[in-house]
Amino acid sequence: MAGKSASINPLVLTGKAPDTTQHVQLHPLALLTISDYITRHTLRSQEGPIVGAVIGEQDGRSFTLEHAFECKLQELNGDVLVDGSWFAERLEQYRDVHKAPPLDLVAIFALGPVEGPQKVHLPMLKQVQQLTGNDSVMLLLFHGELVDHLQGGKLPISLYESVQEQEGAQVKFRELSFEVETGEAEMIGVDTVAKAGTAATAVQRADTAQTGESSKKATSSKGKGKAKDKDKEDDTETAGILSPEDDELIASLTAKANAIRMLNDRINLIRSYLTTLPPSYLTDANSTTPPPRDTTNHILLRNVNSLLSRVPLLAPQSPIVALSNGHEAASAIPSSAAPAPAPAPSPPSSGIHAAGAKERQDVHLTSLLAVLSRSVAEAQAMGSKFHIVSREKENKSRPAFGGGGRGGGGGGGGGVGGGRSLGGFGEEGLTGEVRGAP
Amino acid sequence: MAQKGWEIENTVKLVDPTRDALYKYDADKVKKLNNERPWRSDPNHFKHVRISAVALIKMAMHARSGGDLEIMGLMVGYIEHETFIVTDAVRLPVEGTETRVNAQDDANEYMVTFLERSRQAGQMENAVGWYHSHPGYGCWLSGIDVGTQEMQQSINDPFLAVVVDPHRTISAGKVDIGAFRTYPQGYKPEDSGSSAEGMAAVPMAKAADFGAHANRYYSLEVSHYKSTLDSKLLEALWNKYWVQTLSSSPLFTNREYVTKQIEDVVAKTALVHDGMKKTSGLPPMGPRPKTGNDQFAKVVKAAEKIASEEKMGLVAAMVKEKVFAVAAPQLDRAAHAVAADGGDTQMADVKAA
Repeated sequence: MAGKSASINPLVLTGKAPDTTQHVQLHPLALLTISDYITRHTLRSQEGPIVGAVIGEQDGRSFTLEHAFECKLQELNGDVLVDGSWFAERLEQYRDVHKAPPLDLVAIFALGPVEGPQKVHLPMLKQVQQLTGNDSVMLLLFHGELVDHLQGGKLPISLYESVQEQEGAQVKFRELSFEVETGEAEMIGVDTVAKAGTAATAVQRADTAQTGESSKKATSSKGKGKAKDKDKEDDTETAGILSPEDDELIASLTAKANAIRMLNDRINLIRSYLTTLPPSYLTDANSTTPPPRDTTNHILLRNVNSLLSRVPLLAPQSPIVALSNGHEAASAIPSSAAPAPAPAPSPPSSGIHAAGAKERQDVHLTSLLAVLSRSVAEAQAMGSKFHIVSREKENKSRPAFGGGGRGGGGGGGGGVGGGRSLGGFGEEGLTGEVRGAP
Repeated sequence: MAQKGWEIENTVKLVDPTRDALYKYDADKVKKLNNERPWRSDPNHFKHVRISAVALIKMAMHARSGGDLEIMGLMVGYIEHETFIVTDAVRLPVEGTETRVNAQDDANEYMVTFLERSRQAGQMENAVGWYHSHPGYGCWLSGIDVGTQEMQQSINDPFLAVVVDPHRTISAGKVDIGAFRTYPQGYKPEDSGSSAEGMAAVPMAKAADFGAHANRYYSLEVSHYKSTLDSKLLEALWNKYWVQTLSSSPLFTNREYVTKQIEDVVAKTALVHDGMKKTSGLPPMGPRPKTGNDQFAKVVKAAEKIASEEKMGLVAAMVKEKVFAVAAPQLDRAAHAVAADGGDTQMADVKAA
């Protein structure tokens, strides 16, 4: 296996894909399921290759890869195939629980080299295609050798669709590009695991409590999180310093900070790319050198241009402009533009500015109400405590009176009333009580 | 069997036996523990739960996909010392589980065949618990849930009950999940208030159900784990989904849910207020009834929770505004300036070069 350099693989078609390219979206859960299976399979020394299926939604030419599961294999004439009946029933079971939206088989996954599908992958893929009657089942290859050399956020997988040029000819593969897409719950799940998930070290009897504590409190990412961890474990008495709400706030702020840092990196990347371009008529009006035809990436430049032209549209000044394109700013990457959900909708008359102000006021109002409730609760608690204290000293100082003193208490705010009935003597008694208290 | 092309030899490098220890499965050890049954003598034997990355994400997604309907599923894994280790989660084709007593029976056949097939494929873990969702009303066990769990613990022990709240998850941006085990019939836990305290925000409609059974179960500590390979992939994935983190609008997406929460707090406050008015007329007999204060404290906690979630949503909106919209007018002017100078900038004759 020649590592990363692409040696010619007779099974892979090179060249541009036709115009009817498919639109493929990969969900992180599918990827994590595959990785989970790989880890399990390896650590449990299971036999046989790592092969499984991926289900997703197919809508014309666009596919999603959402869930994955491992497959039982069988060997036939030296070919590795999936156990047909097992596979059909298992697929049916998955279809049963994924009905809205209905998911179906879209791909088979296996480990494979960077060069692409090998002869060993063929019989299995063909069998599955026959089983499901679906010729467009794709092949997803996981490249184990790339995992340690991941750069620039590239995932160690490639996706291939099978192409049959003529009837009865050798089936060939063409590589497909895909993008990563997540649902809301999926993103939150992945986020939670990425930040708070600790290593899967074996459970120890003595320090299960320890690992439990530290993993629960490691909500902020990486370096800061570890320092905070140690602090927390040291002073468990003062563990209430950061309430869970504060923890959550910190976690979300850190996530936002990381995202902004990423955005900044990307923008700098674009900037540095643009500055390295050769000088053109835009920078120096007298220059007559045409831009080099071969090295200029026109597509990239067009993308950057369109991105820049969208940015001014975010100005919430005039209501007409703000409504249509305000949401596109978030997709600030040239390579994958995933449209983001729109900010708060603006009623046509007042514009986005007013809606934003309204939202802010609502949030502040809820905070105010929460603070008010807390103050009332604390005042009430104080009132009742005061009432108890004054009642107690009443009983102690006037045992002869018995029930009479008790009746003078009154309701919630009645602590003051109790003090009143005792007059001057009560004052002294109260202070005496306080001094005498242990 | 032709090994070439399957890349088996490379997989060894992808795992770390120490840091991925939980992915191993020792069938003999499990059998031994099942025979000893240390949990029989101590109702509080199990204290911790470790949930794998895939199990957590699958459960969260399943709960969300049900919308406002409760969903249900099975967890597989094993036990070790005082910990449940959940390695995977399986959906069950049942819905609306809170209103029916024996929802699990419908899914029995599915469960049995599914697990059987998993074993054939090499996934040898047994069922170690069940999970279901409480959309919008928090993580605790209802009367029906307690009944189901008690039965499972008597037949299928060791068994764990897990509850997920998909609405709270989306609203808070963190997976809202709880794990519980019931006490055997007639067992009185020492600190009877323990499970009741954390549950500040149980909505009014369910409060009666919650209160009646709160003493029959206890909650376990939940933590997550992931493999070294998962970590590497997640790092790569972060590069892709940071966009969604930055562009999400929680205030907008959760409007309905938050409104309901506020209504609930209002109703509870009114209830507490009425309660106060009633007791204020009577002479207090002995120490002031604690329940009034407790209830109010819970209302306050619920209100503060809503306020903090709203604040986080506002921060998201403000960040977006600051980063994208503030400088927009200047850029607008700059862009207009360039366009005004001549939209189609004239190039010098190329042939002259």
